[in-house]
Amino acid sequence: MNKNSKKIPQGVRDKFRETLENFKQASPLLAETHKKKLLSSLDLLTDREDGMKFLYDHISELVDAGIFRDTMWDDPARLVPSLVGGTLKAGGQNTIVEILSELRLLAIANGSIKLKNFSAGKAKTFLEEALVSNIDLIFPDGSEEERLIDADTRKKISALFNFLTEQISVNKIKGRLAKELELICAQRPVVTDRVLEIISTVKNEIELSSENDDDRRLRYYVNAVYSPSEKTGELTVDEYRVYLNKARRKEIVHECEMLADTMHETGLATGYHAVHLNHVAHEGALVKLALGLDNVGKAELDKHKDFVTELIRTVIHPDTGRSCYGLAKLLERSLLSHQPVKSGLQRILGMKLHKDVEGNIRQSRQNSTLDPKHILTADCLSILGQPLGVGQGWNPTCQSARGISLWSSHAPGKLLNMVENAAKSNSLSMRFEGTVIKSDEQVLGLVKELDYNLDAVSIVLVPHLDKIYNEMMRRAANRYDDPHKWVNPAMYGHWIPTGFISAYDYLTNSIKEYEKFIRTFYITHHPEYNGGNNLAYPNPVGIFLTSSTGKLIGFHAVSILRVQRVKGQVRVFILNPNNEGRQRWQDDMRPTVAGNGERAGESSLPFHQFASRLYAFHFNQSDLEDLQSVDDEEVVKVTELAKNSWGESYQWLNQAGFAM
Amino acid sequence: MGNKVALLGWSLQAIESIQKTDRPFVVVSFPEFEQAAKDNAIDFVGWNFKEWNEQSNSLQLKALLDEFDVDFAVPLYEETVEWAGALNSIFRDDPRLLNRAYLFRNKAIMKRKALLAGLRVGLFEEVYTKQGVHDFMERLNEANLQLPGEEDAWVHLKPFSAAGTVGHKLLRTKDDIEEKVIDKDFPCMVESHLPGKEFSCEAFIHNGKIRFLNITEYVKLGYSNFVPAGPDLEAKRPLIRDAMERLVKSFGIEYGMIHPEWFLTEDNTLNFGEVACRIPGGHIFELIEKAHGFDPIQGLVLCSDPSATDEEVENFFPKQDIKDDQNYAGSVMVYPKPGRITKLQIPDELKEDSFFEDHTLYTPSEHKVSDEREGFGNHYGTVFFNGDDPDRMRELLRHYQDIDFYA
Repeated sequence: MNKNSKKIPQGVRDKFRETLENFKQASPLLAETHKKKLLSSLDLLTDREDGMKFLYDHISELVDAGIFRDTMWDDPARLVPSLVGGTLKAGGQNTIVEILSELRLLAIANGSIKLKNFSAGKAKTFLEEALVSNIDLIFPDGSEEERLIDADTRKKISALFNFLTEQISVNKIKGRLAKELELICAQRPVVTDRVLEIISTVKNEIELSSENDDDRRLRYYVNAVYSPSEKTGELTVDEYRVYLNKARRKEIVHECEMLADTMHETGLATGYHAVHLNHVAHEGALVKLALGLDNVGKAELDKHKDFVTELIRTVIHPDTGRSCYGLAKLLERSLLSHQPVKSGLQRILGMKLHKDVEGNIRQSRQNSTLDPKHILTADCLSILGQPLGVGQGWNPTCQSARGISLWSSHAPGKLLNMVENAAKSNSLSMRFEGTVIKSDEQVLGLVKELDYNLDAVSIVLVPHLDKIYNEMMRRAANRYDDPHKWVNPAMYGHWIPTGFISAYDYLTNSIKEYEKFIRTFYITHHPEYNGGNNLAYPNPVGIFLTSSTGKLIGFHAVSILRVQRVKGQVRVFILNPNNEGRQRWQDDMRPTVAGNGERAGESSLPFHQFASRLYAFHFNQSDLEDLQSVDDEEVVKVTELAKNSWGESYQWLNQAGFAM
Repeated sequence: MGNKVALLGWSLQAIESIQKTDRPFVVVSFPEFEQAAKDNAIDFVGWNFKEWNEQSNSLQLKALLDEFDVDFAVPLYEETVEWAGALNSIFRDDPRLLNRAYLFRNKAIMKRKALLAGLRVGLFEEVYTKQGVHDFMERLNEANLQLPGEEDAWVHLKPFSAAGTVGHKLLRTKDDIEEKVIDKDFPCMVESHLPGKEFSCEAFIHNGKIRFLNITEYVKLGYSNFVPAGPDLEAKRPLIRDAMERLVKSFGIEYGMIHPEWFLTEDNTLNFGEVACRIPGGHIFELIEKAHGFDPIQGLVLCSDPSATDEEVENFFPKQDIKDDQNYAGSVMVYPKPGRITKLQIPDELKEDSFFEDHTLYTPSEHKVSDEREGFGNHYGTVFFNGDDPDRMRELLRHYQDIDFYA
């Protein structure tokens, strides 16, 4: 439909006016009923771009009437740009309210609505970030996911983004987009679908010049994926295979070097990499080059050449191209020399998958015709090679993702063993306080419907880990302390230290003895107090996740990987399994993923800032020294940060249990 | 006598309508609504309509209502009809009122009463066992002079007291009786299939006289209807009004509103289906408000008030049955087909149609739709239309009642 073909019919305007007036006048009892009627009158308006303009012109009236009152949209300071897309796609009235929320932000950014706690600048930044994280919605590409959205909702989303991009030009977000790509890639995620999707959108939809710096940065990623070498830039993957068959050795070597370079620079491996690696699989020297291995990796390859050739031939395919990078990193970790890993991979290669597991893996890779077993093996290579690249997708399963990462780092044999068991029987068992919990006997988990944007290892394990975790939490509930005290060691393994302290009191939903809590964290984790010792194993800790304005969003699970002085500042390095190690936790509190000594997949922030978000952690009891030796000023600083952010959502109790 | 009303049943729509008038009111409903009433400063009496015994009867309820000086009661839901009858019996000192209320709650007695009034009804019987249903079908077959190999007569099975189409089963063959009828259905009523075009009336009655008569045209029972009826059916208004007056007279209805369903055959005779004495389903009140421009809940309350004057009542309702520039309001209720549904798909041409008004369809989270339905089951939302051409309205409703809005 041509967007300008018709004016908004008078009937639609009248209906809007009538339902809005009714809503304004409604008694509290009937407000909800009239809000529904008002929102349903917005249905026709949100279908069209001139309707967006019309609503934008009326947005402050709608806000004043209370359209956001008592909803999660009420306070713009609590909104999160990366969640905009998901809510827009939800359909129905959620979509409509989310659209209004963006129109309100635009009005704030343009100064027509003024709020005390949310400036025009913040609104502008929010919208730019929302555009960047929803680049796929600006340029719909007819992907599988896109097709699942109903036509009506798709129409609304496109009307909204057309309207927004008239106000905020796509050129303006190029810089942010480039930064987005750089920072995602710096984290070396296992699942690269999203970053590939953004790159594909940039390539197809955005004009890039060679003059502008932002354009050059974007071009770099487009090239990494679509022409990692001159030849690949000219040929499709199939044509490239044919070319390789005829190419001279010198050319092959050149391709090896080019492809290995872009792969290691970006962490992105493509169909070209897969085809090329298969072509050279029989020759160790070329495999070393193609995978760009370091000396450790080369030695490892020499030791296990036949098995590596077999792995490449069976599981590396254009559909599993990303695992070329995982394989390189796995070799550099010398994991094949760890006997349980090698035999674990061999067993998975030779096993028969449970049919439901097969179905789940197929569903996660709907475009692939590969044997699910081979997809699973390929993703095992990635998970083992990139333990910090594990993500939870859109699932509320940070606990499970954290576990997979931890096992990949410290118990890769155990991890493969769990994968094998779960894939064979579609079930998993774990011990908890002397009894065995079987996942297929549990009904409840945190996740209702699994989002399949996950690696195959997670597809196999997460549904079971989630249920087991949930059951352990249930059994450990009502014990007058945080259930994680008992659940974490049972879930993750015996290396979790036995000391445990939590600032959050489950029974009273309040914060208790915070000073002692913070002093304990400093004594056991800060190098100035703990004798400069580093952590032996990752520490699974609980944090309060906060929005960019410091407002509490909820509980979240991360792992502390190490604490180290960088550029004169002590920083905490963590694994954040929510795929996004660099959310903004308050104005100037932003975990970084690069530039402060982070390894790929780590994020870090200054010690006191991290401490101010913590609510529970494990520690070695032998590390407990005199708590009073911790600098008082530091404790006050952390407490202030806590109280002025998530702390506003809780009551604080002192040692005697009185409110402070 | 004052004009304070007790609304039997918690209905936000009714509360809003009555709040727009200056009439004092009390809501009577299950105790769980008490807090909401208190929060919103609404006079409230908590009452469990499901219990009727020595300790919980109309005398006790009347005593509670006396504290609020209530003068009459209006039922909003099927389950409150006999409570309203009992209360109004006491308020008006007329014991027969309660019996009249029972009339509406037992479809077999209702039919018998209609038969006595000289209205045409189908053949019907109370049955207590499956064999009773077989016997009834057999007698109908005999009356139809059925030859071997010919189809059985259709039989409708209905619970005595359920609202609308709840529990209604159409039995076309003897096998149907075996498959569809269960022990829990009994006792109930069976009746012969009435031929003809089905429609409903909503008659607002005050002091024994019909003060406004709306005719609702059914496009497909349980799915779609519109108000007022198109010219063909409206042309039969004198015939319909006559039958309605006989019904009102024989049932002895003085105050309130009734909602009977009729069948009009091709040879211009009316068959009586059944009659309810509560707010009709199928969005009919919403359609009446849109088409006729008055609030039917206010109309119901006004007509239920014996102290209202003729003048008040006359001024409330439109002077003409059908306006010169009459608008027609219609609705299609949407039921997803059994199976798994994941998304809502609204055709573009629907939203672009000038008759389209709005819809209350919601986007499903993926789930399975059961294929076992009570009555017509819960619908998933409604599409509303509004326009000046009844023929086009009928066409649109017919078209959209068959569209699958869910996939």
